[in-house]
Amino acid sequence: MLDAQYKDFGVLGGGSVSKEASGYQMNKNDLHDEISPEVLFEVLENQATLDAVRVFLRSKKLPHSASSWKKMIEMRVEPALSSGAIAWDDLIGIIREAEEHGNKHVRLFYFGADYLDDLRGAITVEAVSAWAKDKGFPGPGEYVFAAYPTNPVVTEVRIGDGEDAYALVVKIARTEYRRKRGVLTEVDGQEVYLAPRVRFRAVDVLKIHQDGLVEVRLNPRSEPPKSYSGTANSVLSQVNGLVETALISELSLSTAKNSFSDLQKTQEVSESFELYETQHKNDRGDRIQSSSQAEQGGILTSSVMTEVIKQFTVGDPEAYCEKVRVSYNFGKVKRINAILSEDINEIIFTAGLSREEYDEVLGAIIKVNSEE
Amino acid sequence: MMFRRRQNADWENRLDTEVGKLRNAETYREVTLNRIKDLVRAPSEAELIRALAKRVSEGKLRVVYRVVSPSTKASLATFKSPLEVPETMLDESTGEEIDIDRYRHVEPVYVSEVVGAK
Repeated sequence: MLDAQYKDFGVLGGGSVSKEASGYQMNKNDLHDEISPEVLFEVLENQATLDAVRVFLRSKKLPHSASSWKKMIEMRVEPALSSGAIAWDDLIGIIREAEEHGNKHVRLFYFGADYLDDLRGAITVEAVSAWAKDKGFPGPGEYVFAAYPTNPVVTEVRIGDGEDAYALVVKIARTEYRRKRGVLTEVDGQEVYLAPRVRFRAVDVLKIHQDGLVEVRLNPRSEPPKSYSGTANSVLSQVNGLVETALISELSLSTAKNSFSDLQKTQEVSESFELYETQHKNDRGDRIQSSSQAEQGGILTSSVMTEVIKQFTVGDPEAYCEKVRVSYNFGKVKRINAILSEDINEIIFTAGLSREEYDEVLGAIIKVNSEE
Repeated sequence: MMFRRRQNADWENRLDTEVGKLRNAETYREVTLNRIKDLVRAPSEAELIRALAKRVSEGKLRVVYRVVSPSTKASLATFKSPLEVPETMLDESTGEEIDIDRYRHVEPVYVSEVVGAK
């Protein structure tokens, strides 16, 4: 099932993007001429977090405190750009990393162990370069910054991601729209609601790990119909011709859901994760949703909630957990919210995350999911 | 992160086991598409959908399409065909009229008997 919006996939002839697409290539020197500061700042605010900009400015030993995006841009970023202390490429670099992590519907798939030798053979600089050239995509190492592309475009094809030197990353940028509140207006004697449409930049990321794990990270959609399953399949189809996409299977997260909602969970799981919501179902069609206050330590600290879940599940082999919401303890202070939804292979991260945060929480969930 | 998994053979046998459990159920029984995916572990969603559609067309399996409240997850109505699902309907669990997104608010459910479907 292909979503219609992916059928007119933009192809970057000769590695350049039209001005109409509000984009440019990072390896050119005329960035300033092709994109306005306002658009760049808008995308920076839309994709990155204030914290990411603070960390970057601090690393350059520049003033970095700001309580809002407006203050950050006016008091910190613009002066640093004017003085030459930071460059446009630096801001693009922040966007480039931030747009890959957080605020994503992540769909997990895998290649079976039998295909891993072929996979390693396919993800080499030579093979990926030839495939990308054939498809009209940017080559490895290039980055096309399309701010608000008219059609979805592949902005980056890369081998290597953080500490994973052999992973393949393919990134797709598209323009999405959000509907603002409608205003009652009279048009031709009829009362109608007029709702302004506001554009935003959405980036989808495909990452293939050399151990066979495949992630499709989808920017949340705003307008119905929303088919994350269909969209994930169309993102996967982008690597046709490089790898055998027909051999990709959905990775079920049922083990992780059962483990997170297990009333006698292992110490390792309970030290890293707290459980805030569960949804259980049985084969009679009964469904039970449970939620507890995060401030009170979640479901497992509530004797009432654990008893209710026990009543529903214990002794019924057909009762199962279909959804959980957990928080992951990143370090001593930060908690990262993750929803393992009813769809078997989906994790939803609701906040902006750094690469380090994203990789750690995803790795922790997959580890729990691997423990039979 | 180290990850390694083998794809499962015999998935069609597992599917037929589940179909058999529905056909031979003495009381009402149902399984959602997501649950079948977990129980059967087919190589791909597309292959599973094809196999399910084949069994439905052969009369071995019954499927209904259930509209689920986006707010409360309550079952609002079931339909024999996805084409019968209206664009809007009253959410009786909240008292509000809702726009139905066929991907988000409608779940295919495989049932032992069709009860009350429109």
